[in-house]
Amino acid sequence: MTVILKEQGESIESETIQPLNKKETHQTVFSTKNLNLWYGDNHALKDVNLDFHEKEISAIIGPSGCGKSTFIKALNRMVELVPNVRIEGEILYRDTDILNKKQSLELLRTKVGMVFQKPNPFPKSIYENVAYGPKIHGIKDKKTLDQIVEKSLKQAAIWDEVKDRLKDNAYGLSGGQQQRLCIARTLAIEPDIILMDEPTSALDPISTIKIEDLMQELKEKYSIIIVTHNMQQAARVSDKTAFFYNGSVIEYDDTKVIFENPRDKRTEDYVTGRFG
Amino acid sequence: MKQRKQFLNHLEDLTSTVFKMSHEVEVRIGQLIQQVEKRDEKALKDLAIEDVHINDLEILINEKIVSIITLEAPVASDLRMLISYIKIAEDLERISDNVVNVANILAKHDIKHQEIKNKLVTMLKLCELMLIDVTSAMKTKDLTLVREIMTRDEDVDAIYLEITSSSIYEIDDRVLMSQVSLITKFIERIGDHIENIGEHQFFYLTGQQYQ
Repeated sequence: MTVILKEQGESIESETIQPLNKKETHQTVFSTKNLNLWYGDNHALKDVNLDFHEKEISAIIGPSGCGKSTFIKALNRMVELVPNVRIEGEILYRDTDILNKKQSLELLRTKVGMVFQKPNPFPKSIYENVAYGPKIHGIKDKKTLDQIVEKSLKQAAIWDEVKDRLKDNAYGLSGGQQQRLCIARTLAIEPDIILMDEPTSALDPISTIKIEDLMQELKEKYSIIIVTHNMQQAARVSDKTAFFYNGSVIEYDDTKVIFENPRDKRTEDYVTGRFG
Repeated sequence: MKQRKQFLNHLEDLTSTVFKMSHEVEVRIGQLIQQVEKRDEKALKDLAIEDVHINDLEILINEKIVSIITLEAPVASDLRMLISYIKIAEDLERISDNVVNVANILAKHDIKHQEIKNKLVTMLKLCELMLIDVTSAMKTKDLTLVREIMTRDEDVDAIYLEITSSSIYEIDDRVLMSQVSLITKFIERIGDHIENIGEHQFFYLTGQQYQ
């Protein structure tokens, strides 16, 4: 089926990805079906079946080595950069299997943005960091780029701090500011979903709170999936929480249930700190 | 190494304090049972004075819980246990208050009606046993026992209704009769508070409100 995906005044035909429909609420955006992943002989993800919904923040928690980062990197196929990786099962992005090799990786990663643990701005100006993505997608008009940069930096709650120094190098920003700049960079190409792999673990407490507040604002428009070692953070920010252990999903439920009255003893033991 | 050793030690210490408070309230009910017959002036006075110690235990338990919540960010069953302990301590304190209320009336009024005294002792003994058993259920996390204990309050209520509505227990002295009604009400409230303790324990063990 051929559908049209509009981007910033340009039309791109795609054979695979369904048109976006952000007006729907609580629709499933990502769904994994019997997802299995191996690094060589190491069975890192085992029969993972999870659904993620629009305008929700979903947290992935679990002890080190349980498969959290592997899972989140599978959602934008970054895990394929690892040698000897093998994946079976399905990962459906709005009903389309992204593991199908015919899928456009570039389009997928436009719609599924990612923010990493260590802020990684480009060695460019603040402006150029945010404008880079739209430029790659063919936007050349300066006025349009200016609008995108301002809008993205505002959405990332950093505009007021940088608006008078957009030409300054991004490396001059603090860690927390760099991370918000990275979020702005992701937002500039209008994603549908934002993946965050421990986005605040390298930041100070004040920056952490700012990022968490930002996540609550962003979920009005975007779906967010966050991997975190910080259980209090998962409890504070997320609507749903999935507990991974040894490559399997042990429990996935409303965050309130996971932290007030989990059904599985392993989940109870983990969230109460009896192991981990 | 035991995970979260400090946290677990704090929980253990808190639990000991709650059980200590429960045991002391049990002892006070036992002492009250004796005084229904004896009416020893000094003993009744001591029951009233020593209530301050129960109040202090409730304050101590609340302080420990606030500290644990602040410092350790407990969740799931740990948090439910702490919430249930706050409520249990409050109910234990109310039970002790009602023991004092009964003691104060007994100190001023001599109930000569033997059948009434027998019924009051029966009510108190039922309450004493309920409290012993609900504390035991807390220690062993016995949900079946908790459910069973909560039904026993009906027996306490039944005796309360019997005393307050049956002509068998009428006393000509209206003032004394009104004091007997008050005593009966206070003991009935003791039963209610112990039932509440069962409900808090139910919440801790299941995460659900008892209905």
